[in-house]
Amino acid sequence: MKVSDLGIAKQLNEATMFKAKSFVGTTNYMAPEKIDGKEYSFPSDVWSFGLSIMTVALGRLPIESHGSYWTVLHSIRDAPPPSLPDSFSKEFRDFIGQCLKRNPDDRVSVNNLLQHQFLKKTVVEDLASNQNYDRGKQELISILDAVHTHIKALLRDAKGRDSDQSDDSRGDLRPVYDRLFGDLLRCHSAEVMRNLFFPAPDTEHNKRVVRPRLNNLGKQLHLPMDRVETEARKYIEGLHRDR
Amino acid sequence: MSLMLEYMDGGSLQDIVEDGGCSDETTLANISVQALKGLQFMHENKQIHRDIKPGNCKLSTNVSVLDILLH
Repeated sequence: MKVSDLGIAKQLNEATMFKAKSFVGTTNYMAPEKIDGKEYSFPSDVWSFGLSIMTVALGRLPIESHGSYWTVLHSIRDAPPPSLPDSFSKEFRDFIGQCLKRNPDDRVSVNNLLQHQFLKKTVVEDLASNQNYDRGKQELISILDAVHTHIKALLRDAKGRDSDQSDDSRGDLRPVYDRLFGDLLRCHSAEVMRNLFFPAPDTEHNKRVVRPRLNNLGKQLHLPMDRVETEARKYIEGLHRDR
Repeated sequence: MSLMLEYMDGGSLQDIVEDGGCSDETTLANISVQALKGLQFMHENKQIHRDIKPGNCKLSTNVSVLDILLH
């Protein structure tokens, strides 16, 4: 998403102290100080932003927009700033409230607004919409399924070889196989899965190989890292139960 | 001054308003972050937008940060 319509954006310099004094902009989203013909600055954009988001949330402009031009202007200037109903979260109401302070000096800056608690909790989901999230989760499950099937086949193969001492043709590979899988041969596939995805957290292997790999997987699937972990753990726990 | 604008195929926030709005706070937060990043870019470059409204916030299907170039 982008902000557009730069037709009336104005270049400011030190001399104008970042303040401009001309009367432009869509009336309904205009900050109170603009209506009074006062100088306006960056906070005016913040008001208009807050009112825009609030309008999207409610599906209608939360100020009196009927009546004459001056009625509308006076209601923006004189009525208390609009606020969201209690059905919205405390964080969101505060987020909008910070934007819609009547006094521009009291209004939050864009930089500070980007740090607001309301945006924090959704940073995780910033990567993808809920719909994509479900799709990513499904893909993760099928990847885990594929890995598990592969491991089961490997174990079956290795165990078969273990018991079949007469198979000389593969004898050469035994040491290699043992070094690669070692004790894992005596494990259940669910344990192999767990070792693969969640080795001891402080090992070098975990830090250098496993974590980055899980991270990449999350990026590919548009899933946040902690979701990848949660889903993988759930899946592996399921395997243990099914034993 | 010249402007390079990306083709935006997702309509604008005004379309959402006209469809009855969107009360999902995750979506609202995502929209907010993107609009604010655009606004942050302008404010850092000493520009006041002056006409922020739903109709001026365009949506694209793949989201990215504002890339308007001002010379």
